[in-house]
Amino acid sequence: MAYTNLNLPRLADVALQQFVKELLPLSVFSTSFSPEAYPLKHKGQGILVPLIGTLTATTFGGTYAITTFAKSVITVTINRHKLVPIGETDLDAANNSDSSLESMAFQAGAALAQAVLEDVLTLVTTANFAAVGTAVASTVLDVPGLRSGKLALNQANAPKPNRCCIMDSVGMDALLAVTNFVQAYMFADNNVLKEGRVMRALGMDLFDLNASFVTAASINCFFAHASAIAVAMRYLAPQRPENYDFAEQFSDARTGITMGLRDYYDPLTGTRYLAIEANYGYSAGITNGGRILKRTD
Amino acid sequence: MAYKFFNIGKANAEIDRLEAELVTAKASEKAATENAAEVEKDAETVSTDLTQARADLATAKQSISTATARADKAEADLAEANKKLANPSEQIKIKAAQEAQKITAAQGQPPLESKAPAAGAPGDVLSQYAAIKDSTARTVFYRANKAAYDAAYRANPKAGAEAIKAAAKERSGDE
Repeated sequence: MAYTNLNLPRLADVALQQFVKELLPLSVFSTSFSPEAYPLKHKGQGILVPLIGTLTATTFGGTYAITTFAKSVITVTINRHKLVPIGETDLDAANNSDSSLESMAFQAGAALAQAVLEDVLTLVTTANFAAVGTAVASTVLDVPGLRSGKLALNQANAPKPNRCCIMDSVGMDALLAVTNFVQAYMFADNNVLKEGRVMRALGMDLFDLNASFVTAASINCFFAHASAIAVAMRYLAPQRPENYDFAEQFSDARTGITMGLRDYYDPLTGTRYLAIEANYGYSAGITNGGRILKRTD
Repeated sequence: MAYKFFNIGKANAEIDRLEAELVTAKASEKAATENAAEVEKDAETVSTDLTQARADLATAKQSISTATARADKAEADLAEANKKLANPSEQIKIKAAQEAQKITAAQGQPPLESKAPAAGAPGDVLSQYAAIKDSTARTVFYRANKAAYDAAYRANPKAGAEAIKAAAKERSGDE
């Protein structure tokens, strides 16, 4: 019986956990993640993602009835669709046990997240965000490179909270060789050694991704405030769900990140097809909220 | 026979004696009067003490009654706790359902139509999961009942698969 090794809620939950974990760098941006289905009732409408902009104070001029500032939003169209297709033949089902399910789901969730991340980070080009500092090889990334990003964001009046620096894994590896980081973290947080990651520096949360930026853009680091990029994610419901054996969404309660799962069996090939998918959209937000340090290698 | 007037000295002595007795009697009467006040005061004290003792007794009886009621309640609570301990997964299910409802409420979504799981056969967790309409609530429920769900699924994979498929199809018809 082919049911045993495909406990779908279990498979989906493991995949979802990994999907959410791998998408962590996206959480620093302006997001609208929701389990509700897309298209919405009003077809063609985008998702309005609120941006965190900079408001400035003014002198009281005798009335409160002024609306100089309002919350900024950006319209994001949900038009991106990534999936991890999984096939299981009858022979596979007979030869695989329940225990192999979690490792497969783990990989599926991670792969889906990586695809989404790489897609969103195609926005990180000098066409959208200004380059700052002196380009250096990612292998020698050091504090001066980070300082240039911080200074540029300060000069662009980007709010100090909710800043991040996303860099390539090579750059993070170079930072792990910076003695000051390792020593400083020895006293406050042992995650540099435990996780192999400098968690935070110069007012920014640091994330490293492997080869996730557009290669041609030669990105060493992307310094960003949350308003730099807006990301929205919704569930893509099938047009005819009754034609699937199972089509359902799975959502993370904390973040609202949602993925879909479709399952059907083809009797002609004796194969069960599963697809774990993400439906999302993104857009550059306030471009002054993002700065790029380029790499020379 | 002696003349009467020769007895005047005797009479005087008698008068003196009687006067002395009178003084003594008056003193006794005064003492008696004073003792009566003291006795009356003592009686009042005894009466007050008695009233206090009765009040204390009433309070003590009330305390005993309260303590008995508390003991009965504690015994009932203990029995209830033992009952819950005998079936811990049921409490987890209920807690999970409550948490799920809080989460969906916080997100401004309509209340779940699924109810807190009721006690039942282990396989019920499959249908309880399938019946939850909200996807985030399903995730919360699954994580809270992962061991029970997976065990029930392994015990009857066909029932588990059919439950979620039927529920998903029913939900897709709602939309």
